[in-house]
Amino acid sequence: MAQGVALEIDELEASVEDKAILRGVTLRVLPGQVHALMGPNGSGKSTLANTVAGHPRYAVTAGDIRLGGRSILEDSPDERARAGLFLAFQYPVEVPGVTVANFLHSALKARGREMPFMEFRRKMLEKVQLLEWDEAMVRRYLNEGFSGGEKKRNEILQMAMLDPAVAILDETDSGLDIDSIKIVSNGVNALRGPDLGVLIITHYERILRYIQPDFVHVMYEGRIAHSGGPEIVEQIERNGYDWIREEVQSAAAGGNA
Amino acid sequence: MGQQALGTAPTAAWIEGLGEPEWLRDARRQAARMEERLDWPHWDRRTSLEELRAVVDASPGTGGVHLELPEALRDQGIVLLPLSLAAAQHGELFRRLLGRQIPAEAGKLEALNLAAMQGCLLVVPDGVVAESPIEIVYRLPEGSGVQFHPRTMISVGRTAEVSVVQRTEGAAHGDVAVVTEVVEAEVADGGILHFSEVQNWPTRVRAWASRQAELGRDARVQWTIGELGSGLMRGSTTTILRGIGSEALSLVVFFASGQQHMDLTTQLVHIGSRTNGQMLARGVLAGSARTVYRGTSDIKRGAKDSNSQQKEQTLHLTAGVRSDAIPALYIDENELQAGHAATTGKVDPEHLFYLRSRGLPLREAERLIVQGFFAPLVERIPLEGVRREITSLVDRKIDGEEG
Repeated sequence: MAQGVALEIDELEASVEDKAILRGVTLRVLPGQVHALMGPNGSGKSTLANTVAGHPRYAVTAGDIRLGGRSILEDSPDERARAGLFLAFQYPVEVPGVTVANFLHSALKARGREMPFMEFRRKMLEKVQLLEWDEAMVRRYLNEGFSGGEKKRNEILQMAMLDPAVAILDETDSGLDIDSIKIVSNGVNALRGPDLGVLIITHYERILRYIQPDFVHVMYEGRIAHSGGPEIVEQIERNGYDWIREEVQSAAAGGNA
Repeated sequence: MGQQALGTAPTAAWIEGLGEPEWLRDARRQAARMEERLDWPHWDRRTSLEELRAVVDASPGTGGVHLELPEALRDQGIVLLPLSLAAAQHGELFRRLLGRQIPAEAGKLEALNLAAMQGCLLVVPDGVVAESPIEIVYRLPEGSGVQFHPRTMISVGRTAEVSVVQRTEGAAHGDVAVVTEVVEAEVADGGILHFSEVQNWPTRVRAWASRQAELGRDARVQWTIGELGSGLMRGSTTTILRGIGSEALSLVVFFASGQQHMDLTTQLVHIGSRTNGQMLARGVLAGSARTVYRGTSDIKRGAKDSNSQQKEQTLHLTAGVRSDAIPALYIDENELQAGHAATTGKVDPEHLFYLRSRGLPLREAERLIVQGFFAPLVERIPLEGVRREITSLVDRKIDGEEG
């Protein structure tokens, strides 16, 4: 089992092709906590997820990311994953010719957790059932021809099999119908525990009805503009994101005065 | 023994020393004379054969010819013999088959192969369905300055069926060696031949190969060719669809890495009506490898209602590689279907990031992508053993990649 490990993001600045997207993000996800990161489109939520996971397109220009107290800025994406980080992709890619089962088996092996075939299969079936899925799916090529809902379910299946210390769910709810959101949420809830830290990135409040966050942050123009408890979710549901814009603008005006 | 350029045919003394029947020695002598007379084959700017002219011993080496014919197949009446024994025991059939698909007149290397050939004859009598696959292994002779000229002759009788697995191998370390390899097969009406070859010569080998099968009415051939070895490989695999309703499926899996240069041709010649052929090839390039893939559909007048399809896909693992796909259609008939498709792609960085984000190191992520790329073809290989062998050789090549 993964040991509890904190994800600490400090004053993180990052850019894509020389365009600054993150302008100083500070966030701590401790073991056992579920954080929600909300915000309008283009605020930098997915950039944060990809930067933490080490996507080569995103360049860190300032700040730090630590996992279990150790900076992972110099780590490759696979080193970060083996250190306990997991990213459920917003758009999981299709990899032809590689079955879901083969992929999971290889990933576990790379993480030093190769297991006998029967044990692997038993564990996989258990997780497939948790996600109310069909066993036949694991024999299919990775995400190839999967519906949007199947792709997201596959992300959570991987999360369940790989047993990370910190999981970032990047818009796992986008494009899903309500039944799929429930299934995916049940899966995540079943994995919740004192050792797992979760960061749910979402535009909408829907998924947060099923996965109760401990903390909610609102991102705006590359910074976390507002943090608080679950009550923020209702505020966004009622009022959208306009109040955040006004809050940031008035803070800026106040600062200038 | 002096060193001479390849192209010097085996000497008369070498041929006499084989102790074969006079008609076979005569065929070798004629081929040797032809080899001397013929010029080096002209190939295009993509592949030069100069490297094949490496200096080697004047006399062909004696390579290993290992044949495995299970007892049960012998009891079924199937014959598998090295050429010398085949010439003594099945002279008539041998003479009829020799050079009929790949004659010495076809070119210098065809002639060289016939003059200096070692190899085997496989005969599957009419109506016999081989219960298990037949294995042929050609092993490069030891020593320096080696040349080796294996030839496999196959006769599949009416409604007979057989699977042949041919492997080529040799010690990895040593001097440059030259190989010519010939496979000539005839499949009578309603017969089925599955011919698999795992070409894994060490990279010090400069190789030329020509394989051809001719099909009778409603006969079928499936080629499974795994091209993995050789520093330079110029290989072609041809099916003559002569019989009405005959069918060919050709699967070519190639993986060129390091400095390897592969120039591969697959060819379908449609003569009979209602003939059906499919050529599928997938190749991976790494290091500074170079490949050429030529797929040719040649549809003769009278091959009505025939169908000839080809699809070739290559994947580049590194930037320093080059692959060319050269599809060709020669059509002399109006009522037919033909098509070709070729694609080349690089490994998608988003795929790599996705796989690596689960903890797979770069090399393991590439391994999954490469094996996944080959999978749709490998899955169509009928023999489990050949599937596993190609998969594990691909794995070993990935392990050997620098990175």
